[in-house]
Amino acid sequence: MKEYIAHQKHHRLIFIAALIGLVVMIAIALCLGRYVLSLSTVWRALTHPFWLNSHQAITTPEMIVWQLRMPRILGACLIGFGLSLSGGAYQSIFQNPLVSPDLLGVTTGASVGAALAILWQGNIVTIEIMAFIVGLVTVLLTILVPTLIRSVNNLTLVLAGIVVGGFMQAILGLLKYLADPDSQLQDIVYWQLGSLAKVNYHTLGATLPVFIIAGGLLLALRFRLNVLSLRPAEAIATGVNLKRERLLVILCATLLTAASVAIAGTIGWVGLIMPHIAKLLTQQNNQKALPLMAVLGAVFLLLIDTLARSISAGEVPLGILTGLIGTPFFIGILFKQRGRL
Amino acid sequence: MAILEVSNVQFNYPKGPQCLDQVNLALNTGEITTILGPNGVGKSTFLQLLCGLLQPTGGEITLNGCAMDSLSPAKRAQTIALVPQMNQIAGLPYTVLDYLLMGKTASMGLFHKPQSADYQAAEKVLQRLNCSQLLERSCASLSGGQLQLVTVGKALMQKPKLLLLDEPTAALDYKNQVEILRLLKDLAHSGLAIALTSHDPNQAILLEDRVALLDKTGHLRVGPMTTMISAENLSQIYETDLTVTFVPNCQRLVCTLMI
Repeated sequence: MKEYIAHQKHHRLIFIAALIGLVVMIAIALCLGRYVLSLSTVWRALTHPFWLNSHQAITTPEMIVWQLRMPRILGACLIGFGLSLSGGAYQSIFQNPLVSPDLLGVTTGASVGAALAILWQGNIVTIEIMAFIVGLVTVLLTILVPTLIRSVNNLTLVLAGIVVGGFMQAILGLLKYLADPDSQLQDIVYWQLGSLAKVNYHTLGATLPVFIIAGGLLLALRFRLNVLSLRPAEAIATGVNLKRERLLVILCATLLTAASVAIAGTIGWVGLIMPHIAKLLTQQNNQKALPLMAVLGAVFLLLIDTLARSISAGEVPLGILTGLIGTPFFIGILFKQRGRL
Repeated sequence: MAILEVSNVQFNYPKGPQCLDQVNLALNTGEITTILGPNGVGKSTFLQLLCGLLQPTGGEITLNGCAMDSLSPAKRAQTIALVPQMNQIAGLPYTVLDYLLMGKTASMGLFHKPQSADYQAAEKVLQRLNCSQLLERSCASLSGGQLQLVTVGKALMQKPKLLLLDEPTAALDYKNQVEILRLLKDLAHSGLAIALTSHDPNQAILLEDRVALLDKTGHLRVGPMTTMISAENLSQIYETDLTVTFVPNCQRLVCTLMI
């Protein structure tokens, strides 16, 4: 038990380090960008918010901090949190380390929902609801394919995700073809590429309850996720109501993905990489890994977004940067899993 | 006292042949029932019916007098614990401690996590199984014998009244087989009802309790080991020639294959 207590302390330290990393990353993200601000300027803007001094006009640093960077930073944190938790939950309930919201096709499905809502000229809430509905249909289709061909294993689930994701990609192509090239097409392409450039307090406010409820539920279910990752017969014999609890996890994970897509479009790889790193640091135990992956996801996406808007004069789409990191990482996982595929 | 009663149970998979036909069995406190039968006869299926994972197509199974299908998985798991075949749990990424704690699921709420009493219970279970040193080890790094002990440990964490084991010694060497069989005898002495499946009649002889013979027609015959283990009975269910002889040196019966 002594060893266990030592490990507990070790895991707590890792979590605290991740939280400190998040605070540091937020500070860096507030300072960096095309217009570099010093830490003291950012501090002044943060501690003397312009809305408290109604007599004074808003200064440029205050505007950059509160109106440009802060919503973007909050958006990156929420999406990193949501996609990481969603990926970790999918990996546990499908007992498959290769899956993530994008590899299961959920992200593409949610983008189709968002595109449909854009065609119908819906607001952010409509986009969110449509992203959730089509995302959920996509994940259910992905689960159905291996069952239909009677080959339920790690690889067939990933292949099914690619096939169903490809189908959703085709529908997305059709929607782009039908979209008005002067207004709607631009919005759909934005969603497809993934960017935090259009995040504002209104979109954050509309999606925040989803992140809090679905994310909170997954975090509360984190011990249960360990049991749900056992083989079905053993999980039921251990006392879980497998169908009901799996459905609850799928609903929460899909809601998180849909809310992320509604804010910033499709951002790949976060939901695959972060759960792996968190599990590696916590002896695979979801009980400790889930809070850690949520924080690490926020740190990672914040880092990616800060790089995306700082490394060149224009803005690099997030998908390019996450893909550059994610692809070798995925090959690494495949290599590690080669015996079990 | 019968914890679980099986009355006229029938079972077949959809579009499959009859797997179990008019089966009757009572599993009693302190008794070990070894279910013997050839490959593919439905021993594991029967075990899944006994713990409520499958529903019979006819007849009834009752747990402490309640119909099995009326009980939730959590209610069932508070009385019955299942130890699956070892190949079902190989490669588990969790530590032994984390795996043992999962045995407490049935007594926890949906959003609850293990408390300090549960950690102490896990430590006690490992002490009882003489493998406290495994607490922090990853399940994936354990030998077959250690893994089997740990799976029994997780089942014991459920504090069951009935323990079901699916071929608990199938992949084990002699030393580990003896260890598991001794453990089962100890557990039965402490009042647990135990049912296990096995291919090997010698294990039923070593356990010296009740034997259930499941044949290819789906019929189950149950009785004391001394009457059920005979060359005639075994040759009939395994469809091969077997001898059962008394060996004075060991003071027990021994079943031998004839080639």
